[in-house]
Amino acid sequence: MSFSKLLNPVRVRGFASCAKLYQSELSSLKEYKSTISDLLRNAGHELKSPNLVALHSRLGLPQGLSYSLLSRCLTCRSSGEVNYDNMSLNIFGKSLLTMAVTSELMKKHPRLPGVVLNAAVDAYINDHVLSNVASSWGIEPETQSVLDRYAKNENATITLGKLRYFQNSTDELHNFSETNAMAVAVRSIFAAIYSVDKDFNKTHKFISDHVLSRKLDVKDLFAFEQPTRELAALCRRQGLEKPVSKLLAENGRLSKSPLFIVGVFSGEEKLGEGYGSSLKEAKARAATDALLKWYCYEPVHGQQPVVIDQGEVLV
Amino acid sequence: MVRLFSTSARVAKDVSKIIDRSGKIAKIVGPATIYNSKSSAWNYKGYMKAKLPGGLYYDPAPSSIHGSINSETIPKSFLEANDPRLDIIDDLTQGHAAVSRVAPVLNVKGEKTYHLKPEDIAEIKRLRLEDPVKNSRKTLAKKYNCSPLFISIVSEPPKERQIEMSHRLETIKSQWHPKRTLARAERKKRKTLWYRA
Repeated sequence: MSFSKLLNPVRVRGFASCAKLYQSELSSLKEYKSTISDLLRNAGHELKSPNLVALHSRLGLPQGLSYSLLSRCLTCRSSGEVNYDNMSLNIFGKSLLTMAVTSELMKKHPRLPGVVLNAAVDAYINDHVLSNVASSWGIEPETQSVLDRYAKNENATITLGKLRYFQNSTDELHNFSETNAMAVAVRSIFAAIYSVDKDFNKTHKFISDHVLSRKLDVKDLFAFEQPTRELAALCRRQGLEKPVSKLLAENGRLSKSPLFIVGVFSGEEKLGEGYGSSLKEAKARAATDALLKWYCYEPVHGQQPVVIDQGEVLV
Repeated sequence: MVRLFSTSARVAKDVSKIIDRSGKIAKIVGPATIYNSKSSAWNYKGYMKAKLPGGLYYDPAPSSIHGSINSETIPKSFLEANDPRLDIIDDLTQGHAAVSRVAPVLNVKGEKTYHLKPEDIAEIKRLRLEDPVKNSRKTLAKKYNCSPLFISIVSEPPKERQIEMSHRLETIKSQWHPKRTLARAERKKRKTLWYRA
């Protein structure tokens, strides 16, 4: 255990001296711990942690964002740091992130149904994704206990540049998983950037660069239940002619592997096209295709930006 | 599609007949080959030797990929009124009207008649509750000149009948060979893919 590691170098002769030594070691351990807290809280005193300096310049963070604040972003409540953690930053960062991602998605795909929009937002900002972002930023979690670091005589500033979330506690509630902690740190950094710049556009730009730059195919999030009925309802709502499925091509109808291509037409206009090994399948796929084309409509760059749509089709 | 070939490639053979220049954007008609596109369709060398002059061509896929959400395949009536693509969409969808006139309709359904009155519906409900064995969906559909689906939408059999039928179905399913059970389950799973991109 780490405790024996601490006591090993000390040669113990009698019980009395052992207790004394133990006391003195304990007090200097406590001192070591409080040094870390003091360094973290003291905004005036410039923190010179190599990890923090590297992270700061790697992300191109604004000059006004102090190393102390950055270190606070990396300190989770579960680490046991009292009254100086990233809890509030995390809450604010989450709102900023949701706002930026939702607005960007709604600009890009104004017709997404509510459920799909929520799924798309979640696909951008869930903990796993943000944890990947954190790893790509080079945020390392602190894996050693305080006692280990003390025994190694590690410089106190090193740990302040790492993600501190672990506490030797049996209380499950207070122990984050590493993924959660990484995501919390990323969200806190967004909030910290806003708190320095006080300019949402700049924060939005930062979020776009690091989160929205990831590719998400929204059409993969759809799963329809009754596409043919939904398409009929859509056409009725939009004042289009009733959709009619027509057979465009077929191959090997009586064979083991037939292939049909069906198009769904509204009047003389083709709305969608689908293939299938049965007419039913091809028809269902054609209707799905048409619905996807409707819902995933993407305004062209330079077009009037926000298109407020009537919402999803209710069957 | 932009093809940037060296100008020396133009000397290979004249492939201008497969380029349709009647529209705003030149369109490629069929795969580019220097031999006869029908009688020598088998000859792969023709495709390898064909060199198109550099430029911009419209060369759509023969069948649009299912769930494609690009500007090429979006229908005109799905575009917003201020969408700049409205100017070119007619060019892209030239052949659709002709196809829609000749393509056979899948299942021709007659116009809806709406011939049943509320009293008839009440009668259907009563009959079905009264004797679900004699007045089955099929019988009632024939009697009232509508589809069995319509009968099941407007009415339902008594609870005991429903329970009995579901028990019967369970018994039948329990007698299935494991292979059949698996095949049915897989078919169900495959069917969910129809409704996805």
